[in-house]
Amino acid sequence: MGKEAGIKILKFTEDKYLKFLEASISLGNPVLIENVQEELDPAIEPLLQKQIVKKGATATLKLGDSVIEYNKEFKFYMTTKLRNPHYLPEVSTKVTLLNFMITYEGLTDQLLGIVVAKENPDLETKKEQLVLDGAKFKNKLAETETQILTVLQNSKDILGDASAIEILSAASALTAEIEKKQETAKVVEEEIDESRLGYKPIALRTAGLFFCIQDLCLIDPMYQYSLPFFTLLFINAIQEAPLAEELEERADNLNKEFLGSLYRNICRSLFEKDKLIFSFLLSIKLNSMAGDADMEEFKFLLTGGVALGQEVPPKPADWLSDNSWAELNRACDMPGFKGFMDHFTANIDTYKEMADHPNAHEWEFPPSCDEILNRLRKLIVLRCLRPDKLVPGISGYVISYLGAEFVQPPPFDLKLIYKDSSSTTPLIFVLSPGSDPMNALTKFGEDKKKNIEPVSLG
Amino acid sequence: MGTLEKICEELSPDPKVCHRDFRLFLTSYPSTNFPVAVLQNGIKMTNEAPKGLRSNVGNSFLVDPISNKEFFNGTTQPKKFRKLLFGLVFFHAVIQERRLYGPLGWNIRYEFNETDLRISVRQLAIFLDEYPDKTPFTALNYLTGECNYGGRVTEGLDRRTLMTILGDYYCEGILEDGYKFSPSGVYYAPSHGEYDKYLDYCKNLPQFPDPEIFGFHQNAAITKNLNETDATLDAILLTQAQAGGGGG
Repeated sequence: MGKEAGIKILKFTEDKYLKFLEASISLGNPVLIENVQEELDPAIEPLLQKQIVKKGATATLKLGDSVIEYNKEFKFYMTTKLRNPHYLPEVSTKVTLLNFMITYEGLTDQLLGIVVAKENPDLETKKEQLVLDGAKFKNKLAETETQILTVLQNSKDILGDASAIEILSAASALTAEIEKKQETAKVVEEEIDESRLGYKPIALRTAGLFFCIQDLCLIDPMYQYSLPFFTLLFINAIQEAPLAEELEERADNLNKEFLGSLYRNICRSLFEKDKLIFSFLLSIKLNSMAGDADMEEFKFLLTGGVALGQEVPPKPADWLSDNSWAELNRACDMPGFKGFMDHFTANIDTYKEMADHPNAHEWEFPPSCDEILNRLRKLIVLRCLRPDKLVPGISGYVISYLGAEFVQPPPFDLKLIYKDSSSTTPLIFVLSPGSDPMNALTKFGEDKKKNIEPVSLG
Repeated sequence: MGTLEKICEELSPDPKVCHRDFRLFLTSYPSTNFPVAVLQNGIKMTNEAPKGLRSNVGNSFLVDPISNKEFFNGTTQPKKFRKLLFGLVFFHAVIQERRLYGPLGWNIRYEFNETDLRISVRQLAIFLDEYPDKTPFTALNYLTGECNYGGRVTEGLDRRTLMTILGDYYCEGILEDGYKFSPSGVYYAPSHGEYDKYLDYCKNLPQFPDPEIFGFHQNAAITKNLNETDATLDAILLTQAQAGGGGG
């Protein structure tokens, strides 16, 4: 939309952005300012307030020191990459805020397009061809219609005019042909949509994972991952994953490959303490999408439920602490735990074994409770009885769903990372106290026979 | 920071602007001021002492100078060297892991790091080469414990602890096969072998070590584990705060 009008893309960080802005205002070209922060440059204040003064026939605006002509065609846009920007009321009232945050559905469609284009290029080109053909046919139909109308208008005696009749019959033949073609096109399109549908689970799963990594930045401000980075990983995974005859097998391979590369790539930018968290989030996400994990139960695992002050029944055994017992009672209020309380009180001695076990996370639940408890619920019971062993428990949960490689982060390897970089992508070391990558870096520079020039800010 | 963002945006694949082999390395502590655009564009990596005894020991073998084959095989007394080297690496991991136990481990949370290990390893190699007949354990203990690692230790009793722990690893006994680091017998210096053997041994260590290897009673781990559980759950909870809004 803006391209035709010659949209100008600027940034506040550019030196001469104000000059360009002034020029665009008087010429009436739209302007987009990218990556604004929460604070806007006060210089554009008059523009936001629309302090336009009418002087005779021309409207003028005072921007900075200069008074410039204001063209009515001028449009002003700003974008921010901030996730949840907080603009002061003074700003919010002057602009229209739009949320362009990617949605789950939108991302799924985008990923579906990518995976189909890569997996089955014929299908995608066919689909594109169909769209083009459809447009062409419509044009032709419109042409014939005008032709018919012209003939009708120009001929006085339509029945006697041989050429007119010829044109008309040709037109009707053409219409019939086009209609037929469109019908077959419709069938093909349905076929295409159907086979696209086969890839839908992959797209859904991948989109879910994207939101999983998006939430990481709430833990640490350095955990920022962009959509292009994510899609690039996805495309690489499509190329790397082993081929298979059956779509289902191929989808399995693809999912596995992508998950592995996602884990490896994200993990190297996470601090040690957050690596297990990331794996756990991944497995919970995948499980909840597969319907194996209940989000309410997951929340309970994190919080232990909220005590609402209701009476708890008397403890069935003395070794249970008040806290554990109350928490267990709250857990049993959830629908998934139906029947567990009876089972627990009946087998109270077995559970004492768990509470006293040095490695409670490896303790085997009695087989009779398998019907009630899935793995997540078992974690909740572990939380209630032995909160100190929950971290190993979580690790066990990840291993059982994703495999052991997801709890053993790959060692730091500068060579591998270097391969992924290019002259335009900076490599950023996120430091923690006591770490100094300089040595590794100089050594690496020597290996590459390059000189590394250290520069300090300031 | 704005200037940095601008510079990063001006990088372009055009060879006139950037040479093909040009790379920009940045280092920074976590900061909210760091431009998001640069972060999203760049490749981020952390460089931290790995969590857990197993990865810590394993990782030490993967970095310079130990990973350097010439260095690893270059001593005149490979048998002694490798035994003691393993002991040193293990000691390095143990004192770092002890920090997790809070005041039970160290009175002050010392930031021991790779450089301490690196210099100690080099000294070990030099001393073994210089004194082929009799290994100077006293000197090694003094240099490693009092100087390299001890330089960070500012508290008297911590220093005594450090020297005592080191004494378990830098001693005559470790040279014998069958010398165990702790009563359970899970941890020991593997018998003489090639570089890969040590890596394999590290891979088979338990992921969650018992407190006995640090010289603690079983119950010492409870507080530490509870803290860990809390920290983990809190962090996960943070990510859930907005999950609904994201539509995920």
